Amino acid sequence: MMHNLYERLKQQKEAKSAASRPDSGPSGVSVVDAASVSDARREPRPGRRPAVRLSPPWEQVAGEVWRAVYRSAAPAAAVVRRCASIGGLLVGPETDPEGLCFLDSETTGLSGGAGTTAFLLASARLQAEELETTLLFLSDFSGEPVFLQLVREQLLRAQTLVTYNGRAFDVAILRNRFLLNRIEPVERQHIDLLHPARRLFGTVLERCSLSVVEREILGITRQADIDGAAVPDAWLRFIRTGDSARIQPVFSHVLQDSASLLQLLARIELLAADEDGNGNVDPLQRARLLIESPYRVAGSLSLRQRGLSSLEALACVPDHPQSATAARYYCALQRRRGNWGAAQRVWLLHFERRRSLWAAVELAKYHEHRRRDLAAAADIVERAAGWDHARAVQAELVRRRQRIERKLLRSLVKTRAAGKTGPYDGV
Amino acid sequence: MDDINRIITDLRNDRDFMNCVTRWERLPQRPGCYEDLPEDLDPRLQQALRSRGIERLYVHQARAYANARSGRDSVVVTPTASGKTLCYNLPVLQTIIERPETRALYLFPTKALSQDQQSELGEVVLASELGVKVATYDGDTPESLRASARETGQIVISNPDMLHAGVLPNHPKWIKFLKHLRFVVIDELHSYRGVFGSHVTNVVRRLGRICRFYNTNPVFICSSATIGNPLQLAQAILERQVALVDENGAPAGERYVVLYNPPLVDRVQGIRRGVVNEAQKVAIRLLRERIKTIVFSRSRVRTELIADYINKSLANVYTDNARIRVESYRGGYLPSERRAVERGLRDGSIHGVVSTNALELGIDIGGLDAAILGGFPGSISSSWQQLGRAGRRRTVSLAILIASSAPLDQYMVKNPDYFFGRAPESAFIDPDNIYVLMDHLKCAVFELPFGGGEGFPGPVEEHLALLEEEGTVRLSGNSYYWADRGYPAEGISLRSATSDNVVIIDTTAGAHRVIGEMDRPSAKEMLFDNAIYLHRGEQYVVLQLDLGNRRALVERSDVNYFTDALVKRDIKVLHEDRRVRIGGCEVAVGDILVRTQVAKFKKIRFRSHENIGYGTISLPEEEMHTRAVALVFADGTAAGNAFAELEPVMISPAMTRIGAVIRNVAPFFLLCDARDIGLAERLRDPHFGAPALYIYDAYPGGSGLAEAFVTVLPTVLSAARDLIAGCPCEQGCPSCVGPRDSTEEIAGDPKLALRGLLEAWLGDAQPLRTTQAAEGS
Ligand SMILES: [Zn+2]
Repeated sequence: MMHNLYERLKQQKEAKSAASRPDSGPSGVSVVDAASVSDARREPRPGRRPAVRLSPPWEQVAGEVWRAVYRSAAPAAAVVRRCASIGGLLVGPETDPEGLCFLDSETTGLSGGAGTTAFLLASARLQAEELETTLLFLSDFSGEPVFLQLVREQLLRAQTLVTYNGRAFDVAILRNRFLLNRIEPVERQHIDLLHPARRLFGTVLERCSLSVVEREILGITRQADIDGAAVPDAWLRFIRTGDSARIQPVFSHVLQDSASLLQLLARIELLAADEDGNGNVDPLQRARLLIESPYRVAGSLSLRQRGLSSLEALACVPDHPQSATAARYYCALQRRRGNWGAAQRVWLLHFERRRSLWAAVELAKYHEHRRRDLAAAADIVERAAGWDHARAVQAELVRRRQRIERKLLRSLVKTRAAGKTGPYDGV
Repeated sequence: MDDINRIITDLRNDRDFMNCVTRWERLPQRPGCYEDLPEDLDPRLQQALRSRGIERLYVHQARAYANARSGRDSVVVTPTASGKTLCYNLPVLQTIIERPETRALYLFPTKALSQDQQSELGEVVLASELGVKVATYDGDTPESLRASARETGQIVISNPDMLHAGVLPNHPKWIKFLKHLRFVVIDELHSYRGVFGSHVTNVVRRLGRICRFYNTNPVFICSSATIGNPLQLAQAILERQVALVDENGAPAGERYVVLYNPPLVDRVQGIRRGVVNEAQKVAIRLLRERIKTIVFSRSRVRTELIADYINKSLANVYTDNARIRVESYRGGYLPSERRAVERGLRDGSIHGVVSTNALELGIDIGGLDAAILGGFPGSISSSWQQLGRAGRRRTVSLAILIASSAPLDQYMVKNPDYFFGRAPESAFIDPDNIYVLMDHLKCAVFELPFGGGEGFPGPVEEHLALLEEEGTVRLSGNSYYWADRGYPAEGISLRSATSDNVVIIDTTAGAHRVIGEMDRPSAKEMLFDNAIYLHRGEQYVVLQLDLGNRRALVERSDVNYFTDALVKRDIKVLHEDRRVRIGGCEVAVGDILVRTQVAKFKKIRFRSHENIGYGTISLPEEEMHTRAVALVFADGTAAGNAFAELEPVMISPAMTRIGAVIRNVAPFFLLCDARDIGLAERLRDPHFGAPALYIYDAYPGGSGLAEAFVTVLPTVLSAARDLIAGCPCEQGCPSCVGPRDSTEEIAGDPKLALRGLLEAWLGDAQPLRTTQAAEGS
């Protein structure tokens, strides 16, 4: 009886997973996945898996834990070093360039729950003009405690982590793993490049994944790369077969990821410093990034000024396609700071040159509430009402004008009344 | 209240009314049984209670408090409105006051209930007075509030589904909460029965495992409605010793429970007045006397109809003043609307409510003077839950069960001793059911690598090895690890029902307003194109049911009828795994497809309820792929011969009744709930070429019950035979072969007929048992 149940359960689960797998991954990859997973299922029982052999530079540190160190030339290092000396957008003067740790990990799943394990970590560091990347690799689950100890050592050596979406993913998963293995976690400063990248390229790129940013912004083309979404299955397949050819592409993948982090950081700093001629960036968003970036470090006031001036420049070219958005943002900012004059100049410009209804309303409000000049407010509304607008807008303007007129009338009556009784006031 | 006494006297003196009453039962008043506020109770908490007029605790509250404070798990069994929530809130709040890092998890069976807990319950207000932070964490909690619930919520209100799919798989995020988890409250424990209860038990196992990882050992406080075996159920779910608190210290006024059989309108055919009209008539009579009344009805449509009829009748009489407000209440309304009705009932601004069994659960609506049950709710324990909604601490209350013409209802009103004497149903679970267990083992491995048994029963190693073959886990070193990219909890539902709902949108006059929602299978039956949909006193016509986008567009309408879909169910055998001879018949095991189709609907005139036409529905069938056993009564088998002895017209009803007996007996052996198994009989089954009775799992994909049924079949059959033989009833009752049914073709005494059939069937069953023994090892 029991045996039948097992048989039954197996059949059913197999049917289910075969049915559900094709839509689990991105198309193209999924077909390969389905085949490889059932492949893996036919593999011999564990324990009989052939011993893992990885060729140099890999060395076996412990039972299932491996390490490899790679060096590569890093021209982008100069940019980072300069930012560290004069202060950049993300890299401040207090940053030790050699203390930056460009970190990327690969995991057994993308859901991020307790059952997601990190099996590969790349941590890259600047050494002179070179980038030294240490890869740590776990070749089966049982090695995890040792693996994590080595990961911890890497983190301890770092002053600041540089990641791409590491805050939500890599670092969060490592924290889970430390916790589950009862290892004390390591807290480090963290520059997550995802947010500035989203700001700068979000409007010009279709997606802001690291691979797209790499290709479109950094101009890097990868050779024979493995899709990030296929990485978990590659490892799960590897641990069942021990076939190192299957995991090799994952190593190259993570190595490139960590190198790209350095290049991306440098590129963002160059864009911030306005030294990069590359037009593939959203000027408005760049200005906003400079103004409001939470990554701003002390001493970058000039960056902030620069952001404000480029925003103003955008706002003051009414023909520029981003002018209206820039103006709204610029004026809101100036109004918040009490710089009414600066805001008024831009409103006026957009009111007169672009017949902007938004500017008309803002100006009218400015005159009505701020300057209490009802006549000026009425004039603005009057002129705006003459433009060719949609019916709803027209109605809105009419309401505004009526209100201002009522107010005008009231104040007139008041003045007149005050004129009559004036002499006896206060007696 | 003098009004209630007056109306009771009126009814007693009303000859027409009393002619329909088959039992007028008086339940004497019961004094309260109190204890002083616990000595260790914080002065602020004492003060807060006193300001609410609570000077003493009921004895069950005091017991529950003492148990929880001394670290003993307990289950509190109390009827509705007996101060149940204080049983768990008091020890939890006291402990939080003493040690603010303390965390408590409250689990409610439904989302609606958990939201009530947070938004409405007095004690939670009390919590906020004391500065205790209460957070709801369920599927509706916005992402922005989730982190703060995890980090700062001292009491987190959730449901088992969320614990299963949201909390446990992400337990590292909950470290702060789990490290200080001192209490787990499981409210409405009785709803965790059958396969659902088996799932929940495994979720509790997983919670226990995670708690051990964080070095916590929370105390469980459970509450249950009155069922046959609350202690047994609590111990089965928690898998440890539990203290039972079942003395009810709350006082209760005198109560009258009346069984009412509507008058015959056609003596020859035995047709009685319908339960909808009868219920609204009695309700109006009470409401006009300002008696706060709840009417329970057995379907959503009837709920709407009764409320509508009541409101229309009252409107005619009280045109100018006397604002008697009557509302309807059921699942599928907007949460804000439900909250408003609950509030209105508590503060007295709503005088009457017509509800489905949605208000049978523990939602706090205060005390009511009268309850009317429009039809027998299907079980004794539900009946008492619903009847119990009427009842005040001091004054008299009235509860009336109005029978429909269904055989079960008729049996209850014609056999009052059975109704009053019958113990509430028991609840069974089988958490070691292999289907359920394997699902949760996967989740457990995902949550933490598996070393030993870790609180899971049976040959865990063997189970894990099976999962390893399947490729989802991996043995590395001495532990099993989750070795799949997936997230197992995502694909495993604790419930048979789907959670994808259809949103109902009112598009009258160009509007686009969400008025409610409905689960997909019900939507097919109630929101098909051209259906008349009744919703809170309004009538809508369905313009389009868009299942792809999960929405139904409706528009106000004004017709003189409502619609009722005709549901057809059929079974298709997909695959027959094996066939054996057991218990005197052939038994086939395999996969089936249960198809539910709504192809036609009736138009039924309001008030008169006459059928005034038909319409067609074109909707895809609802399909469920599941596991089944079929009892095939083939020629040459003992059962086949026994059936062949019957008059041909009697074969089909006899099969139905065999099914009814099996439904009565099997849950006891399968440790499931009657609703977990489906039954269908086919007189000439096209697959088997003989009469066949199907018993199938009511969970999509199967739940292991059908397979288990094969093993217990001989036992079930002989138990059924003994049950019929020993039943004290005369011609069949709900406990055995089902009550007499005038519409079926069994001539004479159905009980005798069935008994004869079973005896003939099982006459040669003895030798076959050896076959079963060999098979079952
Ligand atoms: Zn009986």
